[in-house]
Order: sequence, then structure tokens, then C-alpha cells
Amino acid sequence: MRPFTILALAAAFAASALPAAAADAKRPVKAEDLFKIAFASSATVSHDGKRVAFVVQRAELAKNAYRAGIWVAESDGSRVQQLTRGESDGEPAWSPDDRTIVFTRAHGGPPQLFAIDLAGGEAHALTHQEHGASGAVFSHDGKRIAFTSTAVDDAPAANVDWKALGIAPPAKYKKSDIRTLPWPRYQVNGAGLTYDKTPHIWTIDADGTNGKQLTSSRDGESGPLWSPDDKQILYGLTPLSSVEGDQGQMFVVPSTGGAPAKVAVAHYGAFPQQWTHDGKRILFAYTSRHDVSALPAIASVNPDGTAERTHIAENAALIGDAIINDTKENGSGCGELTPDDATLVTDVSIPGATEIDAFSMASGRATSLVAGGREIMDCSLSRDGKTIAYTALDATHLPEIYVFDRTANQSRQLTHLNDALTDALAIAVPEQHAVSNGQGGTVSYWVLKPPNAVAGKRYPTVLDIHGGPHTEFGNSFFHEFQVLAARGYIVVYANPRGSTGYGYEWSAALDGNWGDAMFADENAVMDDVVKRADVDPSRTFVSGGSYGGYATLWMIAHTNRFKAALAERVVSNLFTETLSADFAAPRGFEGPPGTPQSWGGALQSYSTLWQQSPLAHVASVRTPLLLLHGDADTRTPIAETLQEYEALKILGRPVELVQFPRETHDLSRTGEPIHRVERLHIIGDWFDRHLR
Amino acid sequence: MKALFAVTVAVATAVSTLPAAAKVPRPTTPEDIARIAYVSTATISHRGDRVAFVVTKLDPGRNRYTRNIWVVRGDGTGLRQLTRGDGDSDPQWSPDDRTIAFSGARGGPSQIYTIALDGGEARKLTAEGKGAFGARWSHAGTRIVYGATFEDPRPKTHLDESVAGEKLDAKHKLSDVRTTDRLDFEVNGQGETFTQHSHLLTIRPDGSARKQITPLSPWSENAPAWSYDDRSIAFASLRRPVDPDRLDSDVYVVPSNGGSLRRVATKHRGSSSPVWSHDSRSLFVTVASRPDPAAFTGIDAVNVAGGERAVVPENTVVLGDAMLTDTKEGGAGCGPLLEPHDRWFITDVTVPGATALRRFDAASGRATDAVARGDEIGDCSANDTLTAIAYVASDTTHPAEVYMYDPARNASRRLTNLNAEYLAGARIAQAQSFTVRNDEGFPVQAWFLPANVPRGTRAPTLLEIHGGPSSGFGNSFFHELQLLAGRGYNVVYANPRGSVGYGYPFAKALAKNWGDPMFRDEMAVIDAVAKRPDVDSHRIGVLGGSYGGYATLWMIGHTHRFKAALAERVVSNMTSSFLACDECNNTSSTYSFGNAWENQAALWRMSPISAVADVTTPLLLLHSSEDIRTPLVDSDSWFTLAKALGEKITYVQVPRENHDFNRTGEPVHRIERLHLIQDWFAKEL
Repeated sequence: MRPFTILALAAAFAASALPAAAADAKRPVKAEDLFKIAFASSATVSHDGKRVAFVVQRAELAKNAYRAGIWVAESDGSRVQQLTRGESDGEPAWSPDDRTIVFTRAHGGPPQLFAIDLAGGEAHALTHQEHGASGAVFSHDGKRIAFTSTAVDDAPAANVDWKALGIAPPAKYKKSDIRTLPWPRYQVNGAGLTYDKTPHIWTIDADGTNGKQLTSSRDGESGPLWSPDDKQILYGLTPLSSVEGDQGQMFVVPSTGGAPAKVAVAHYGAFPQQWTHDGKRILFAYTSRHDVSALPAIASVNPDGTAERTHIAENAALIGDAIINDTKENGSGCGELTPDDATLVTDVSIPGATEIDAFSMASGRATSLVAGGREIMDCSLSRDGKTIAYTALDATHLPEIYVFDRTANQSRQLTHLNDALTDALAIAVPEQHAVSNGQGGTVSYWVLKPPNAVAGKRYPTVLDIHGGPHTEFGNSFFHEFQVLAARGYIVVYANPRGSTGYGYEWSAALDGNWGDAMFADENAVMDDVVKRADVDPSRTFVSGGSYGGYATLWMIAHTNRFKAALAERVVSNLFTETLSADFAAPRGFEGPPGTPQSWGGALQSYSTLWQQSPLAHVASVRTPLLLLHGDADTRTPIAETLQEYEALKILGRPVELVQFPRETHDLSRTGEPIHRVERLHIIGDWFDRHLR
Repeated sequence: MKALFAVTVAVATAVSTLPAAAKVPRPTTPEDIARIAYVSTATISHRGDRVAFVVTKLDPGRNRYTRNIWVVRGDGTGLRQLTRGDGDSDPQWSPDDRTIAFSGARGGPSQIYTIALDGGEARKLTAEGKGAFGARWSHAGTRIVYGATFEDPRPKTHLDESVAGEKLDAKHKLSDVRTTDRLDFEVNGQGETFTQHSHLLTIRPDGSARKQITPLSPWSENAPAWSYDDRSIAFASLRRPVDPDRLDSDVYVVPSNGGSLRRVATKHRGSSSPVWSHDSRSLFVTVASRPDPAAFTGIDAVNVAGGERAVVPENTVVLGDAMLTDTKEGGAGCGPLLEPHDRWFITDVTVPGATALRRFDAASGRATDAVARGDEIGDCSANDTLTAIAYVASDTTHPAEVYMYDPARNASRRLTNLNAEYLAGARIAQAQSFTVRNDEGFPVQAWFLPANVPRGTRAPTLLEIHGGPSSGFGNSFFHELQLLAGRGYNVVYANPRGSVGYGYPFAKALAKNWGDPMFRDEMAVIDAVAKRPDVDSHRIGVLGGSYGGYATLWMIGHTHRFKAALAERVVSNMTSSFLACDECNNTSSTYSFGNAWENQAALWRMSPISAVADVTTPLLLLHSSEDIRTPLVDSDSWFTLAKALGEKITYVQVPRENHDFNRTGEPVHRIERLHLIQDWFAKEL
């Protein structure tokens, strides 16, 4: 995270100008193309800038699983090579001499750190941690590696008097599997129960010997960062006493072991970013209050907590890639200081896109380095600060690896992993528009037409609402939208209030009011869209997941303009969602308590939470609705979907429920490949059913 | 029948006077649940000379239950274990009494077995893919009707292999994505049920001539009953395509050779549990008219050709055994047992703090008690002439055993004593029944189980609140209560408003007001108990599960009187609990409390969580992770707020268990739960 100042709310930015080649020779995009996509990510440049390591993941049908390997490309574009061939390899990290890459590999068990020699030969394991290892970071001298490994609490003995039963304790039942949960955030969507698992920081020598656990607090620690002299390690933790889980703290610990010292800063939450190259300062992000709309500030401080200075003000810029799509893998993040500590190079979310900017540490002002109005997922900087590797994609191009040469001020595309696929496909190209919401704001939206649309014909139209709500749509590849366009739908997607990239106020506009502002904006978009000659105004649909699922339920409770709706992983009751989600937030979702932006605590603001819940307005729903939910979703628990479903059934309204076994909140992005394909078919089939 | 309310509410139920055998008895322990033999399903032979029944035991070493069929003669001799399949239930005598058919889950889904009484092992009659159950002999003994489960075929995985360029693995060819538009698509303990339907089949006793007599459909057929001429089979089924979300069944008749189904029309919203008259012309059916969760069902006599009359009007008497304990197995139910000339029948009814067998005149509905011992009668059956009735009964100091009733002599005798050894070694507390008047003048029945402490000691005291709320405590064996008394707590338990057995207005008193009448009644009970010389009035705790969990949360949100509380499988929020549960329907929400979207202010007031900030009592919350009757969201929500408010709370989740954890959970978990409860109060009281 980091900053930026004035964001032009209405700034229109060009969608990729690259046209899809003539549609006639090409075939439509299908759900099953999921199995043809190479998901590139984690562009990690070597220290000398000459090579880029990255991860390529593919879905495999026969195993209904993903396979990911580490690849390496020469920065001059001369060679691209697959380096590792494990089942699930990721997180490449270059040794300081660039001869070795350490990465995480999971096969069968928990992930472990592996090392592979760039000069040749297979990878070998560095760690054999019982519960796995991840997040390798080399010391600057290359002799040691810091990483994170999880400790799991021992299960207590079963509370049974076996003697009284006259039997020896059976091995299977000696230990109890009954769980005493110590705090509300006892689970994490996708990770299962986490209350008895605590991440700690370890170091090992580069040859895998001398493993040593450095930290051991009950709160758990993560994100180790070596000081430039390798004597200390900076890390972050969030105390379990943090009710909302957002009050991060920073510590330094001697890298050979010893007592951790807190880097005392007076902020609500502080999150370490890196050491300055001179080793004198710690760069960190902070927030001043519980506010999920907050755009953290970037500051620096002496390791002893003195002489703090803010470089980029809070709520000034959104550092990181907040664009939502269904074709990206989690990137490796972005953001590094140049060798002179004068500039922070990082990605920033802007309206409908991400770009890489250079922030002056003196003024906080930003200069655009790598722009182009597309999505940039991650980036990394060579030791001399001159080469930047990054992963980028746009509405018609899948993720590929690039390098940017700061001296030449030029980018080069290193990979073409998806060219064969995209060349064969008739890919729809979005048009970008903006409309006034009638309340003083301008809403950006996109229209994706069927690639073979015929002039004069009117098409059924699907409005898709994004989740978050603090994310944004943008110039990025969205497989689901392409599939719908290929099936003959116009897809409309917008960044209503609540979306990121348009400044803090736009994002925070949902405080205490999750539904109305979004509704006004999406309705304005639809009013604009139905004026189009290619849109059939009598056949419009609405869909969305997570916050977008909430929004879909809200829309159909407040307008009957849609022929049918599809809502995934919904929030129907804000009271139960805030209290029972894996990130349970008893103080409310948005602004700080006691401020006008606040929802207040769940109890004090019950009537607000209820009135902002789609369930309060469920009796007004007349639109046929399909609800989708993953059984293992603890972000928006099943109770949210069931409350809406059962209410509509009791009311006798048309509603159906689709449940996916084993899937979490991330079904559409990381679910089992077959489920992802089936989901896309279910979506298209549902709208097809309501065309007449 | 008149409502029982006015006449019987204040009658103190006599506690069984059978003494527990004396012999260095020791207090009850959690592990005792593995020492008790759980006796159920007393099924008398046609001649009335023998009784088959089911004995269930816990096997903690293998963390499972064993369930087998036993037989005893009518004079109490000849007790023997007949089957050893360890998953056997529902014994049914052949008309010649030489064979017993039963359901056996022996390493796969349940199938129908028969076993000869004169020797030899059981033989398997069916091999239904998803299981068979509920065998019933035709009167001629030539056929057996049973139910079998059929599962809708899973759809093919929707995926075009030619586009993907790869083939689906065999195990992925069928989709596991589940799509439904049913309201009642899942059931606690059974999971997703909307793809599973039970249909009726007949088979010859030799296992030949399997014939399906009701067609595959999205509906299920239950409770099949042969007409006395063996030509027809009556059953109950919910099958209304125009209104798939009404959860009330109707009674149907189908020719026993198969053919078209005929609905037996009644004027009621729903009907079930058909019993044939001996002339095979009419059916006695259980009827319900309103979606009222507090309602008592009635019994109508319905002519299959048309016409009906009420025999037992609705809301007059509680048919069946509504008593709540942790030591009874799901029994076979009880009646109506129709006399050969159809002049009267016997069925069990819930009375204040007990169950009785009652005889109803089939014409006038006039009732007289048959067996009314002031204890709990679990299930019953009669011989063909109704001259002998077998039943199981338990009381506060005795787990259930098999009994036989002779209507001519109006006397019962006990046939089994499988728990004699256990009782001889256990110190079982005797309950004292008492009645208090609440602030509205309602008499409230309650019991006091004295702590196992020296005389003259003031002991800490626990108030236990029952679930339902349409159920009742009574004179029945309750291991958990005995355990707590044995650990040195006085245990108080009451039947506050909402409980059954005290008339319809008493049971209905919680409609539109789930917490407050219960609260006032329980407080009146506590006020009375606190005056006792053996009660330490400063150390009183409260506990309960399901509605009792709701009640526990309600109590600690509205009084600081309790030093410690333990709430299991709670309802904390009337909106989520009544819309995210397996039995959500307009009976539970619309009728009782108004819908969440129309009546939110009242629902919020009735939700214990609206008072969570007022709680000062340390609380242990206990919830099973697979409970979909009272979903986890209600415990999660309470826990998050209580923690944020800095309250003293412990939250325990039990994996693989559902809403029935304390009755049917894994034995090791059940023992651990009991330790958890006693340890919690030992720490906090």
C-alpha cells in the first residue's frame, strides 16, 4: 500500500486500443478455455536485472487440479525456459548472487522450501518443517534464508476416564478433536480453522542446515525483512487482542536470535514494508483508525521508534493492484525503494487500471513509470533500480511477463504463453463510458458486446456488479464476461461508489450505507445503457458475487427492471455477516466508531444494519433469482444465502439454490477447475432460461 | 376431550418408589452412559406371549453404538439376545410369530432381514442400493412391504471435453454440484435430502418377487400399513406439486400389487400415520389444521371412500411421548392400537410430567387412562386381540425396561431388568416434584434433584431448561441430571410456559413472545428453590440446549442472578435462526412470530443477542459443527459480540456432530461433553 494525491474521478482512460483480429476466422470463447490459459504471475527480476523468474499455472482436467511451475526468462527476450516441474511450485526468490532460486513446493504434504541451481540440475528440499514453510527471503550476504513456518497446538487428551470404562485408551481417540475457540476470528476462508495454528519466523543457512525459530509469540509473526547488515530482522504481527484484526505492530529481532523489540509508532495499525538501503530507517504503512476504506499512509521511522516521518499521506493513493478479474493468480506484490532511498517504485490502483509509479520520498509526489491503462499485477526491481519486471494483462490479453528498462523508458514483453490461444479466439473488446449518477458523481462503466454482434440487432444485457466493495473493474481479462459475450450477451460492468481507484471519498461513500449509493450509480449506468441501439431493454439481467451478491439482492429488492438475477456468495443480513464471517467485525464494516462514516457497533447500529440488509426488503423481490454458494465459504457463511433463500421460498417467489461442495469464497478464482467450468455454464444457462 | 389444563396442572406427579438397589453405590459419572442398556421398541407377538425389543449400547473403545434385537417371554422368562448385527432395529413379528423381520445396518446401508425364532442366523431379504427399512408383514404373512431409498441420478458434469482438449477422469464424469428449489432440502443429521426419496416395495418372506408398488417420484412414502384384507396399503406422503413448499403430508392408499395412488381426502391441512380399521374401509389418521408449532394434533376416522369424523379433536391432548431425556432411543411410537371391533383404541399421551397409555372410545373420543404410572412410556404395541400390551417405561431412577400390560386385570409387569447391575452400583438421586405459581397465577411444575452432599450442607444449584420448547421434563431417567447431582449440585428443572402436558394455552403461551413467559416462570422456580435450606442461593448456575440454549442466553441477559451459564446449540437471533435452519418454513416463522421482513422490531426484542451487552455471567457456548437445526451463525454471532464486549466466555465446537449430539453423538464426544459440563461448573461455581 502507498499514496498518490488527487485522483480524477471522471478521468476516462482508454481501453486497450489493440483490436481483436477479424472475428470471422476465430472461434468463440468457451468456459472450457480455462484449461488452455497459462496463468503467469509473480514476475521476480534477478538482482542483476538480467533474468526474470515467474510462475506459470495451468488447470488440468483429468486431475481436476492445478499445476504450477517456476519459469525463467532472459530480460533481453532471448529465452524463456521452464525451470521446475513440481505439482505446485511458487514464490521464486533469487539468491543475492543470482545463481540459485529458492521457491516453495507442495506435493502431497505442506509446502517446503526448495532450491534450484540456475546452472543446471534438479531442485532439492531445504526445509522439512512439520507444518510447512513459505515466504523465503535471502539475507543480503546470501548465507541465510528467513521464512515463515506454522506451529500447530497439540490437541489436548480426550476428556474420558478410560480406566472407569475398563479399556485402554484407543490410539484413535486418545486426543480430543473438540475445539475450544479462543477468539472470534478462529478460521480463515480457504485455510480452515486457524485458531490453533501460529506462524513464526525461522532462519536456515542457505544449504538448509541450522534451522532456527526466531519468534514465538502467541500472536504469530510474518513477513521477515533482513536489515541491510543482516543483523536484524523486521517483521509484523497483529495482536490477538485486535478485535477487528487490523491493528498491526512492528518488531525487530536479532537475526541470530534474542528478544524482539517493538518499533513503537503511535498509529492504530502499522505494517512493515522494508528497510532503507542505508539500514537507518524502516519504511512502513499505517492507518489511523479502523476503516476498511482507508488507504494506508507510507512513513518511515528509526528502528527505535523515533523521528517518524510520513511520506505519502493517508487516504491519498491506493498502493497495490485492486482490480478484480477471474484470470489472475495472486501476484507477488510490488513496491521497492531505489538504491538511493529517494524513490519508492510501486504499483498504484487508478481508475480502471493499475500502473507502476515512482514516488518521491521527499515530496510524496508520483511520476508514472509504467502506464498503459491496463492491469499490472506485481513488480520487482533489480539491485541497481533500473530494471522492473512485472506481470500485466488487459481486457483482450491474458497475463504475460514484461520488463521495463528505466534508462530507455521502455517495456519489453518477455512471454507469449497465451498468444496461440488468444489468436484463435474471437475476443470481445470493451467500450468504456461514463455517466453522471445524478448525485454529483460520474460513474465509469464498460460495455462488452458479443464479438460478432450484428448492427441493428438488440442483445440481452447482463449487468455484473463487483465484490469487495473496495475493488474495481478495469482493463483486465475477465473470462466469465468473455464467455457471456460469446453466448450472445452484452456485459455491462461499472465502478459505482465503494469502488477503489477513484479516491478515498468515492470508496468510503458506502459508510453506513452499503446499498443506496451503489444502487443509484448502477441504476444510472443501466438507464444509460438501455438507450443504446444494441441493448434489448426488456431483457436485462443482474449478477454479482460477495459484495456483488449483496448488491444483486439489493438491486432486485428495489427495482423490477431485470428479467432475472444471479447472486453468488451473498450477504443478506449485515448483522449476522459482520459477526459470523471469518473476519468477524463487531465494530462494523467501514468507518471508525463515533464518526459520521461509522456503522457503529453491531449492537448499537442494529436498525441501520437491518435496514441496509437485503433481507429487510426481500418481500419486494419479484425477479427470478439463482443463488450460488460454496460449502466451505466462511467469508460469507451459508447462513447468509439460506436466509435469503428461505425467505423467498416462504414468500413463494421464484428462487433456486446451487451449492458447490468443497468450495470456498474463491470458487470463481481458485475453485476446482471442473467446478469453475460448471459454474460458467450454470450462469449462462440461467440467463438463457429467462430470455423469453 | 376437555383441555387438561385446569384440572391437572397442579397435581404433583408421584415419583417411582422402586428403590435403587443398595450396594456401596458411587455417584454417577460421565462414563456411566456406556454402562446403561438403552431399551426401546417393545414389539409384542401376535399371540401376545413374547416381546421383541431393541437394546442399544455405547462402545466407547470403538466409538460406536451397538444395537441388537432381544426377545423375552410375556412372563419375564426366556430373555435372550436374538441378533448380533450391532445395527439392528424395528423388529416385526410374522403373523405366525415364527419369524421376526427387522432392519439391519450391517456394514452398509440398512437392509431388511428375517430371523427365525426357533434358531439360526438372520438372512438378508433385500439389497437396495441406498438402503431398505420399515418392514411390515401382510396379514396373510405372504408378503412384506418396506421402504427403500432412491437417489436422483446425479447429472453429467457440464463440460465439453473437445474444447478442453482433455478427458474427464471417470470419477469426475458426474457432477457433484447440487441444485434445488425445495424449501426442505436438508435435514439435520441427514444432510441434503432433496435428492433422496423413499418408495414402497413388497417382497415375499423368502426374498423373491421384489416389486415396487409406488413409482419413482420427487416425493417419499412413509408409514405403510396393510389393510386387513391385504388388498391395500395406506401411507403418508407429502406430494403436492402445486405447492411444493408446504411441509404437511397427506394419507394415500395404493393397491398392494401396485397401481395408482389415491389421496384420502380430509378437511385438514395435513394428515399422517394411517391405521386401518379391521373392516379395511376406513383409516384412523393423525391430523393437523394450522401451521402452529404449539398445536396438538388430533385423530380423525376417515372413510377411504369419503367422509370423515373427528375422534380426538386438535389441541385437546398431546398424542405421543413429548418427554425429553438423554437416555431414550428413538422408539417405535405408540398407537393408535385399535381393538378388533374398532370400538376403542389405546395410544400414549403426554400428561403433566409423565406419559400415559390412554384408551379412547372410537365413537365418542371419550378417554380413560389405561397405564398411568406417572412415569415415561416410550412406545407400545398390542397383540392381535388387544389383550396384552407391551411398552417400555422409565422413571427418574430407572432407565427404560420392557413392561407388559394386561387390560383385563388393569395391571402391568416388568419383563426386563437389564440395568439392574448398573443401578446396583450407582447412587441415583430421587427427584422431588413441586409446583410454584408464577406472577400471572399459572402453576408451574418443577423438580428438585438433591445434591450428593452431606445433610445440612448448602449446595450450589443448577437450573436446567429444556429444549423444544414443545417438550417437557418429567419422571424419566436423565443421566446428565444425575451426573450433576452426583457431582454435588442440586439440580432444578421445570416445565415453564411453552412446555407440553399442561394444556394448549400453556404450550401456546410463547407464541409471539418466546422468552419472557419462560423467564418469569423459571425465575419463580428459582425464587422458591433459593429459600431451601440445602440451596446456596449465591451459587446458582443455568444451562440448556436448543430452545434451552435460547432460554439460557435469555436468562443471563435479563438477570445477574446466575454465577455461571452453559448454553448449547443456541438460538440467539430470531431472524437468522428461523431463516437459516433445516426446518425453516412458515410454520416456524410466519405463524409464530411474524416474518423477519415484517416484524423485525419484535424479533429483535425476542432475540437474546439484543441483551448480550447486559450479560455479566460467565458463559460456556457449546455447538456442533454440523448442526443445521440451530445453525452455527447464532453461536458465532454471540461469541463475537461477547468477546468484543470483554465478557467472560468460552466457545467450544464439536466436529462431526449435529443438533442431536447429546443423544446420538459419537460416544467419545458424548463422554467428553459431560466432562466439559461438570468441569465448567466446578470452575465457575
